[in-house]
Amino acid sequence: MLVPAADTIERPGKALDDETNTSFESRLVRKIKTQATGDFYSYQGIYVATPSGLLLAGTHHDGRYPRKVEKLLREGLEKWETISPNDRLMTNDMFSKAVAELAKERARIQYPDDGLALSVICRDLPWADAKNVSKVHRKMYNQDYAWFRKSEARAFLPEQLTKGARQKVKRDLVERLARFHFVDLVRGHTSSYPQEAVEHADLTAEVIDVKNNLVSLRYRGRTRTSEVHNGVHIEGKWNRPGPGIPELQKRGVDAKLEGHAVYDQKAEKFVSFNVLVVTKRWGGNVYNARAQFLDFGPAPMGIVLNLAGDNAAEQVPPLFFRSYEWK
Amino acid sequence: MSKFFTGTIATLLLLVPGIGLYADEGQPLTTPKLSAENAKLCDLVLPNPSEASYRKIPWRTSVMQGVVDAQKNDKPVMIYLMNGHPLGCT
Repeated sequence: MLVPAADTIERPGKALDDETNTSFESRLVRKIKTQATGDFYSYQGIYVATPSGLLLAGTHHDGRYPRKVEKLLREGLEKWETISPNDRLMTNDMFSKAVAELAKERARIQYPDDGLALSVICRDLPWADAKNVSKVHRKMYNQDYAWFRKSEARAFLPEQLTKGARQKVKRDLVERLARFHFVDLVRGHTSSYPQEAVEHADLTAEVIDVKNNLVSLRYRGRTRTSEVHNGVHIEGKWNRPGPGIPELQKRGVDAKLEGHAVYDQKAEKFVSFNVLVVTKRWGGNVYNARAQFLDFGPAPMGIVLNLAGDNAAEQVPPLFFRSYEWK
Repeated sequence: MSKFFTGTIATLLLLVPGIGLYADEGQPLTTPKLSAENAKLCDLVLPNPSEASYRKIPWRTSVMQGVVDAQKNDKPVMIYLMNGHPLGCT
C-alpha cells in the first residue's frame, strides 16, 4: 500500500530543515514540507508523499490519534491513484542521485554488528506525587539504544572467565551509560551529562557459571550524576524561570544496577543481557515535560537494558551517539 | 489477563536460580539470584505488547531508504519525522 519510513530531523552536519543543507534528502523533505498547510509549525509530523516529492496528505498534531492517522493514510492513497506515474515517480536522474546518497548514508552508520547493542527503556516507577501528573504522562515510556564496539563489549566481562571471577567494568564504559543513557528521557528529550557531573560510576561483573562456551554473569553497580545550574540559561537544558520553578535549578540521577547476562565465548558476543536500573531522578527541563507538572522529584525512574533486536528498526543510533566520539 | 500470565511466567524463570535458559548436556547454566523486586520492576518498565505493536510495521529507518523503496515499488511513502528518531528516542 505504502512504504513506511521513520527518521529524525537532526543530522551530524546540517539538519534536514536547515535551508542551507543542499543534500538530496533535505531538498526533498523541504519540498514536501513547503506544500503542507494547516497544523504544521515545525517539520515534525507524518507526511504521505510521492517519491517525486508531491505531498498527498500530512499532519503534525494528529500523529497521536490512530484513527486520524488511518484517515490521513487513506486520503493519501486515494490521491496517489489520481496522479500519473510520470508525476509521482522520480526521473531516472533523480533516482540515481537518491540511490547514491542512500549508499553514502549507509556507509556512515557505525552500528556495532560484532559488538553489543542494548535497548534502553525508561519509565517512571510509582511515586507519591504521581497524582499531580496527567494519566497520559504517568504512563509514558521512552526508548533509546546504547552501543559498544567489540572490544568494549569484551570489557563487560572479567579477564578470566572462570566461576567466581569478578572485575569492575572499565570506568569510561560505565560513564557512557551514566552520562548518555541514565538520563531522564521518560517524556521527552533532555541533555546528556558532562563528564564532570559523574560522581560515581561503578559496575562489577561476576562469573556465576561456565558451561562449554557459555558464561553466566551477574552485574551489580551504582552510578550518580549531579549538576547545579551555573546561572546561565541554556535552551533545552534548564527550565525557564517561572512560577513554581525552583530558583536554584539542579538535576541528577542516582542509579543502582542489578542484572545478569550470558556471553558466548565461541561467538564472542552476548546472547542475553538483562539489567534493571532503579534510579532516583531530580530536576527537569521544558522539553522533558517535568516543568509542566512541576514534577522535579526526587522520584523513582526505572531503566531496563536488554539486547536490542537485529531488525533494522532496532538499529537506529543512540540519541547522544555523536557524543560517543567514535572515529 | 494473558499479558499478566506471560509476564508472570517470564518473571518466575528469571527469578529462580538454577533454571537456566541454556542447557549443556542436561546441565542448565546457572543464573544469579536477583533481588525479589527485580523482575517485577522490569515488567513495570518494559512496554506491554500493545505499546510495542509499532515494531511490527516494516519501517525503513531513513527518509532516503523509504523514498528509494517507494520508487522501486511504485508506491507512496509515509514519512514519520521527529526531533529524535521515532523508532529510538524522540
